[in-house]
Amino acid sequence: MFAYWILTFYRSVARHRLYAAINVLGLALGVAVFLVLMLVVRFQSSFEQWIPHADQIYLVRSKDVLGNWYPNVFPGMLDELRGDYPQLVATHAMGVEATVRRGAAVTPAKVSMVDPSFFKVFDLPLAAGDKAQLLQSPDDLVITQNTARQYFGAANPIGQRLTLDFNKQLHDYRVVGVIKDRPPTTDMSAEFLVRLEVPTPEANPNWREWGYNTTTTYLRFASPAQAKVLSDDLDRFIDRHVGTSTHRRSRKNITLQLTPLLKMHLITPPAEAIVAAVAAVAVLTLLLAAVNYVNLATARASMRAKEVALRKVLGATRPGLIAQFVGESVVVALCGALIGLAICELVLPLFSAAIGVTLKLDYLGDPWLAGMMAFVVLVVGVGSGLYPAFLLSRFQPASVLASARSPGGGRAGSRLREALVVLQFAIAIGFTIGMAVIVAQAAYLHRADLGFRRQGLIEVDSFPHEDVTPEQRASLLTAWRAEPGVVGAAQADGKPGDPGDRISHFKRASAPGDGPIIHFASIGPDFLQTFGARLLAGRLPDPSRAADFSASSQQAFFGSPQEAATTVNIVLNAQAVKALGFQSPRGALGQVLTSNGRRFMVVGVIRDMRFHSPREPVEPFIYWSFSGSIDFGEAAVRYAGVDTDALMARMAADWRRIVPTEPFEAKTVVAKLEHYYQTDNQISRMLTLAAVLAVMIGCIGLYGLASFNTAQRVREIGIRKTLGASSRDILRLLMGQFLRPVVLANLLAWPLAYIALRAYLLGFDQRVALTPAYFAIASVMTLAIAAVTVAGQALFVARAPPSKALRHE
Amino acid sequence: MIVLADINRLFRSDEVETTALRSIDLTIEEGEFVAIMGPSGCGKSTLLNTLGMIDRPTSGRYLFRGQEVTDLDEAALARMRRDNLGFVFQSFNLIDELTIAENVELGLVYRRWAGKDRKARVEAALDRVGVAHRSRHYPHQLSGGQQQRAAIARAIVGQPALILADEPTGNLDSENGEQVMEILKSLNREGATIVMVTHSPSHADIAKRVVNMLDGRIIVSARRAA
Repeated sequence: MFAYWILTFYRSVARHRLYAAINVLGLALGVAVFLVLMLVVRFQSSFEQWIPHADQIYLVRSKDVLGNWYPNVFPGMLDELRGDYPQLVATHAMGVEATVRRGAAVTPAKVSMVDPSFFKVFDLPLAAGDKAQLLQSPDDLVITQNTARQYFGAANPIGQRLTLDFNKQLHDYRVVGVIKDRPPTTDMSAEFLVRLEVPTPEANPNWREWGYNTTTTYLRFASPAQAKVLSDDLDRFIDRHVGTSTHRRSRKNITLQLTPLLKMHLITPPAEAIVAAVAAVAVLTLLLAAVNYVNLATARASMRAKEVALRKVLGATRPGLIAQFVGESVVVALCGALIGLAICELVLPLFSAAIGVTLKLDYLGDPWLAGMMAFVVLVVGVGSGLYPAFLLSRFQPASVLASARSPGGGRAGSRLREALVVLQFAIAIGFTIGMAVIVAQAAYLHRADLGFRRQGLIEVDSFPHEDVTPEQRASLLTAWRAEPGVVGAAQADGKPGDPGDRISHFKRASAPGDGPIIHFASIGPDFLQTFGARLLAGRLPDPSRAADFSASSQQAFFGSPQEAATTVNIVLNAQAVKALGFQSPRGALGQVLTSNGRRFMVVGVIRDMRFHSPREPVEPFIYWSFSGSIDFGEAAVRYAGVDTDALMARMAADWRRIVPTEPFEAKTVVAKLEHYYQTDNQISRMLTLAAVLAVMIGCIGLYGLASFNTAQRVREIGIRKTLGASSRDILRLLMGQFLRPVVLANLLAWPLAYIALRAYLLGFDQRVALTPAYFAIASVMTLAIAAVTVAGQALFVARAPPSKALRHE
Repeated sequence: MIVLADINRLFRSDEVETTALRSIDLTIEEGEFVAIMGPSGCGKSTLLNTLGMIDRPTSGRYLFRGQEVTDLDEAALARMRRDNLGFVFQSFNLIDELTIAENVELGLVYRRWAGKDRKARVEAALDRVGVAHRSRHYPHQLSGGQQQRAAIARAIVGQPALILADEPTGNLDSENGEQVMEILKSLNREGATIVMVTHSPSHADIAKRVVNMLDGRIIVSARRAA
């Protein structure tokens, strides 16, 4: 019995190779896209899950006056929390820029200074060492397996000594523990863990300062209920402690929140929305392939009505027939899924390279894969088998055998199939429109106006390192300015338009109240010229005018009494002009602002400069010039007519000569900006892949249906030709009918794509316009591809001699 | 009206070569009613298809109203069919997805008739064969006899010079068969030339001439006294 099933199944597949191939290939492509995209989703949403009991760990986040959330709080909060909640399991960590010194070699190192209770919260798997004893002594050092290999090779790392250079001091450490290598799904980048000691108030007066947000504080709770109890008490915690702070912070400016560690990776918008969108694309592609499969399977099954009738005559029962059809369908779906898995394996390395994340299928250690495959096979297999199973097994054998033609599900059946094609193409067209817009937006970001010339500019990241002295910085700038090809070199306490944490109220001299909160950047001479800022009104700071410059950024608002009495000339960006309520850039010139008792006069207004995510609006900025040293000063070097790598090498040589103790780190601005576009580049690549494959699957389905449809209609076409229809008439008829669902699909796809893409583009401060061209181009393209797909079939049938067609029965 | 001279038709497949028609010579005058008879597989339908220009002979000449048909291209053949011919088939060959009226109208659609003229002609044709009351139904809702009458309506709606009928009564009971033959007879009386393939000697008797075929040849072509 079973052998017969297999035999007829095999013959049926072999006899209709084309249908079988189309069926399986379409499903395989859909499964491949689904698996690849779901791997991305799984990768992005499984961050920190490797940490034992990660679900029990929470971060304390704080919100600043501008409404921005930060994952850190002031370091002293840990003790205050422990004081208020004695049972609390908590720790904190502070990242620090450091170098490892081994003889003459200086290597950058990612160091995290942590509270000794760190391993009570983070139960990290160790390759060596005793967890209970770690970080008990001030010279204890815990490193990762990777670092151990790097520094000690195959030797036992425990007990080895390493010298770290940070906070302007050399520190000798002894390795006491080695953390096992971490998976790529982690945002914990520190390779070295050392003890964070509580400093004396003299050593660090800010330690207990609300707003000195330098440590990440982690809490661990045995149950979510316990976390909620503390979370609900946070407002009272602030009330109890904020009064003791020396800083003039009012209660209303402070908000704290407990956030699960597992949520942290996707917490910055739009990360979570993007992951959800990728998941949606994955599911829609699978749906597309499944619909395709069901559609073709049901169409094809109707050709087997005679076989079913004969089986019934020979004694087959209805449940037996249903089992046969569903069984066949599950087997074919399994083939499709396995081929899809193979395609996924083949494209995964390419895809990983394209999106810059290493994805891989884990066959043994991960029930996820098996689960997904079983899900796909069962849903698609049973789903596509049930309809024809019930439909075909219902026919009365006598009527099927007597009839010259096979029942194809009738008009209702063909309507259903057409509706399914509409759905398939709606998805495919929607993806294509989405791809067109997202690719256009990603490309636009690379050439959008940033308010300065992004080409020919180098940012020196190691410049603000605390071990570099003001004198060294001045020498570096002088040395670089002398390099051939360098047009300008300057420093500032941040990149222009990248909102740092320096903010203050600025108000117009005549206005009441505090005035708006505005970012202020401390910049050195020539900084705006070096970046290539564009003037809207007035002038840029001029080194020959004393009033344009203050002495040193360290004093800023707290300079000498004489300095505090003078008015400082400043430059605004266009947003600041707006925030301060000036009618125009020109109207702001010569106007006086006050802040913290100091007076400022506007001498110039520049265009907004953007050095951050294109999703966020540019903040109001005031550029305050200093002739002396600048705290946390970054350096920018403008060059022209020389090779970037060659110049970078010469700058590095200058650096090594002047600052031998610190490594040189620098990047072009174009490379640094890439960071902000990375996500959008990734999405546009993923969507391009999905769209191309969706259109392909749609066309495979359309081709299958067209060939099925023409096979069913050979007789009708014969009749029409007998009545005098020319080949052209037939071609027109068939093409019209095949393409009608594709045209209808546009009506469904357009509004949905519009809504989704409008939401996507609204997430950008700088964006392309959502013009009808994208919709038109995507639709025409899809229609053209669909037309080419079915033209062959239509042409073949239209040209067949009618007598042959009429014999076809 | 029709002159066939030395018509041969071969069917080739990978393994076998079948000769369906051998040296057929046949002349049919305007207004004739010709019945073609013979056992299954003798070439009756091939001959009819050749006459109907839906199959091309392998060799020989075919003059239709003095025009050589065998060397016409596909498009010209389609024009010849739609302007001159009407077909009636044993299995009716109505299009399932179209109503009876739409099926009949199809014959005019390809003749590029204007919509409003078509309606009247379709109604008249359906009336002529007695199924006007079923015009809005689909083929499967009609009895076999009604379907065949609708098929005849479709064949005559364009007032063709030649009606070709391939066993038009083959799928009908005797009563419906008689009715169909009555319609064909009256069409012939009104001037239509009819060529009909049939197995039924009694139906062949209605024709004015009987052509008997065997193994692809015409063995007897006998004109009956009217």
